[in-house]
Amino acid sequence: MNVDIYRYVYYTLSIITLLIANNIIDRKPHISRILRLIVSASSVSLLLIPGLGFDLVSSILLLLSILGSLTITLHSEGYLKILFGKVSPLHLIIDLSLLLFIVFLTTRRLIEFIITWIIVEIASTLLIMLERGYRNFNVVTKYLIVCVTAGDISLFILLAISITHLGFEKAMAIDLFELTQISNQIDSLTTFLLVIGFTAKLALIPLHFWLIDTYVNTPSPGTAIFSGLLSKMSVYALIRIFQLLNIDYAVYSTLLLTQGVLTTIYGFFSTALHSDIKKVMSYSSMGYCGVFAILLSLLPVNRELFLKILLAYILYHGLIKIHLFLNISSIELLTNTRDIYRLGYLAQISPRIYDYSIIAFLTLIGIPPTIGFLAKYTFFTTIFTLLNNHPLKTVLLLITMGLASVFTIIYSVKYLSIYTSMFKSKPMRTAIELLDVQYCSEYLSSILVIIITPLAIFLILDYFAVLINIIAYLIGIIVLVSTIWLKNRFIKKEKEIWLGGIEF
Amino acid sequence: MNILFYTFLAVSLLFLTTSNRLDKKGYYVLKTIGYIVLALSIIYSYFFKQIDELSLVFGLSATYISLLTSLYSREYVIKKGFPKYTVLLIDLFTYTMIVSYASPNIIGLAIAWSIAEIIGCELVSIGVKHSLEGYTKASTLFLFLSTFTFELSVFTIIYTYLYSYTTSLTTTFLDILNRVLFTSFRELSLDKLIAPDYLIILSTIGFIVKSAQIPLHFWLVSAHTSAPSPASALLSGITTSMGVYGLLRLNTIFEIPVTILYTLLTISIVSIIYSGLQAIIQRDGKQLLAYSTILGNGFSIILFIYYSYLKSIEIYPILLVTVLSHMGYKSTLFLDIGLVEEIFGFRFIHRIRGLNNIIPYSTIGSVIAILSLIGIPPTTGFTSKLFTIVFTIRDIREPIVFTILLTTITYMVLTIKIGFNYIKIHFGSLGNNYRFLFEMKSIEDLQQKIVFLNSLSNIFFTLVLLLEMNIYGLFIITILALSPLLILLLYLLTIVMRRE
Repeated sequence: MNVDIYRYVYYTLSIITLLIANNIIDRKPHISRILRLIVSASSVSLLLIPGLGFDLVSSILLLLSILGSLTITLHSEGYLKILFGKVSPLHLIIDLSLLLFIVFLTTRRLIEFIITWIIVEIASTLLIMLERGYRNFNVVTKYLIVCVTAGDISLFILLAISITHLGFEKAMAIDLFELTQISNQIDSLTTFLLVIGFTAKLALIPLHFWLIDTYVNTPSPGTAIFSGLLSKMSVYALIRIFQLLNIDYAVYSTLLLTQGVLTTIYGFFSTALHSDIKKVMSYSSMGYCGVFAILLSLLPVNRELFLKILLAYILYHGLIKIHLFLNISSIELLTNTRDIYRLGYLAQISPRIYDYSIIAFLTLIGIPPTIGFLAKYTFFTTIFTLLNNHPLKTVLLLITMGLASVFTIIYSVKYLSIYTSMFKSKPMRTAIELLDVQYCSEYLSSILVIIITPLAIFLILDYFAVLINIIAYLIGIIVLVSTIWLKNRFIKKEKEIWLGGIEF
Repeated sequence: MNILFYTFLAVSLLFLTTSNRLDKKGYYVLKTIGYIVLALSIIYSYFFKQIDELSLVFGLSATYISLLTSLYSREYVIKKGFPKYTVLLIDLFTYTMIVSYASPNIIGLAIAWSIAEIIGCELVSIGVKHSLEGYTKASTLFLFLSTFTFELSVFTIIYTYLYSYTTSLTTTFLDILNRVLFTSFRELSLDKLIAPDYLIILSTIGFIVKSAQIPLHFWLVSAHTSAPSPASALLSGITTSMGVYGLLRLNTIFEIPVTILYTLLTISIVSIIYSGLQAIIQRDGKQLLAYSTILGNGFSIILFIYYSYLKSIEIYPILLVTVLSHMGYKSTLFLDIGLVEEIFGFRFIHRIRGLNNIIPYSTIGSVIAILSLIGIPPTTGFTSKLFTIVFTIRDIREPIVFTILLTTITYMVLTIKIGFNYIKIHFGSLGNNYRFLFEMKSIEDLQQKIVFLNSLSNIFFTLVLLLEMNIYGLFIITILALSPLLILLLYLLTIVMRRE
């Protein structure tokens, strides 16, 4: 009970600090920034309290949410400042959603888990309407009916299971981790219902159609929260279901594998079809949701190994998607468009953003020393270990993941072409200069994908492929640093960045 | 002891009636004091074991809603040009209803409620004379269906007692009558009566009509749409709750046979589907709310059937929460639509948009009410729906429970649709095409704050779960801890929605 008091004190203090910080955000931005960063970073202190029982999964997710909060809260301040001239009180929505996600991750009781889940969803509907208000009402309706309701049904079934097996009185006060006390086998229909709601939240086919609308219509910092953080909620829930309950593994695995493969293929294919860069990235998020589902479906095969790879993927996808969507938000502010064919000149008008976007590009296609290499390399090598026991599955996974990689490269190139493609298009208007906080946020997120890698190697891959990853990382660092040094030292600054030798 | 109780009642009645003659400030102060005295008398009689938990819960919640509705009605009556005695009628209406909920015996219930019905009928007829919309024979229908069937049922209950006691005991008729009328419900519930089926049917029928279930539903829509809005809030929020209250009382008196429960189940399923579909297509805001009253009462009755069929103690507090949540959100929404009437002069919800800019407090209030209708934490509606779903999944092997689960899901879908239809009036912007059609009138700031205060009942009525403190302790703490957060989020919502 004492531990619970710590948690509640932390939540209360954080909310009060956020209220104060958002109140003074326009008058004293520096103090407000410091307060908000303290709120985000201080949730590490919850890790240090012994009784709270964080395992690797919650620790990694908490780490992701802290790093994500730091970058998003800095960027969104500038975003709102440029867009509306005034940051308060809309910024409170973003800060609250970030805090609520942390609250969700640090809950212990089952009943708290369920209620905070729904509260996070309410906050996320506010995120959708942050910029366009009532005009996004239809998007919100779709999101609520497809995504939220389905997820809630699964949550209710989770509660019903614990009440059925443990008795009502105990289920109302049970710890999430005490669900292991349910020793009964859960039948296949209940497993199906338990999983299908969370897959709707994870936007897997056939309940995937809410995702694109929601992601595209949400303002970009909000999309960063959606894609980077909130999409991990159902992954977290599915991991917990697998770990704690004695479910029907065949149903769990088959359902997730089928949906995962379909969603991966559909999502990554669709990235090739669109020219709106935000839509492309949304489809890529959907594809990655499929990858998560595939990894979740492999958990019964090798619990330890695939959980670690899944965590690497979560960290990788979370960080890169936050960076990319923040970058897209900068692009929107700078050029007022997201159409790839109307862009292409961005490196001229904003070379600093261009530098950071190259790191994002490297991470997307998985090149050391970024965390993308770690995630992709380990996944591909692990698929081959399945070859003896599950040959058919291995082939299916190889095809799917190969396809995913190819399409990832294609849309990554598309993304980079925003900055340096042909100079056919010209800026529609003179670019607005971004604020310093936004550059700071971009800088932070591009640094993070590099410096998080050794941490991830030691935290996640304690026995698998450590050496090769470290070597790749070191070589990657050397190459990266020397490239930057060479560029600064020898390549002379040109007035216009150009490609293919054609000067205009 | 009893003298003190009656003094309390008399003092509060005095305050409520005299306050109408005072100026604005005196009115509000005296009225608040009057209702607080009324609440104190209920608590007092509970602690001296005069009334049971059921009366306490219903009495106190009705008092809270009555207080706010009464404070609200002053400005409404002036703005809409109703006769001045309407406020007095509303006060008498609430007073008699609260007294009948809190009355410890049958005679108190019968007398107070009959008076309340007659005053309610008068309120409806005032509304019929004044409003543009609505049905002209509303008050007659109300009197003939709602009032008379209630009398029928209460008299049947009394008769059943006489019937069964005269056969078993050898005392005089007057003694038995005396005993039946003045014995408290606590003592009556100690041993259950065995009565013939036709008497039980006759005693349930009044309460079914009170909750306006099909086929005896049509009086409700006409009455609630015609009455002035504060009266509609009371009629819909407090009066129709008498249906479930009466059924719960009957359940302690009789052993209700399974066949009657099945009939009730059929009736309420049909009511839920019919009224839900009707509510979705309404343009008149009050008509939408009136149909959704039938919907909400149908759901409460379904839960009552569940409770009565399985005799599980666990579902009892959930049933209470469900009835109270209906009380909370329905009164809030009717008060809200009353503000709409004051501002625009009509209540066709497909023409009205953007109230958020005019009455922001009321917007927060009605969004809380809609969240309770839809069932989102930490509102009472969430509590009721969550535990209904969870318990029905637990007991799914019973066919009747499976039917209840299916009905609950239908109910949830319908409420989501209705909630979205209604809440649109607060957001968006009034198109320029319609702007010239009417002139908007300003309203009192206090009135919309009252709507907000009333909507808070949607959160703290969860406290009724304190009756089962040891089970729901953590749940209540979580709910109450999250409720300031919800209000903060809704405040942000009103700001976000203003961006148009």
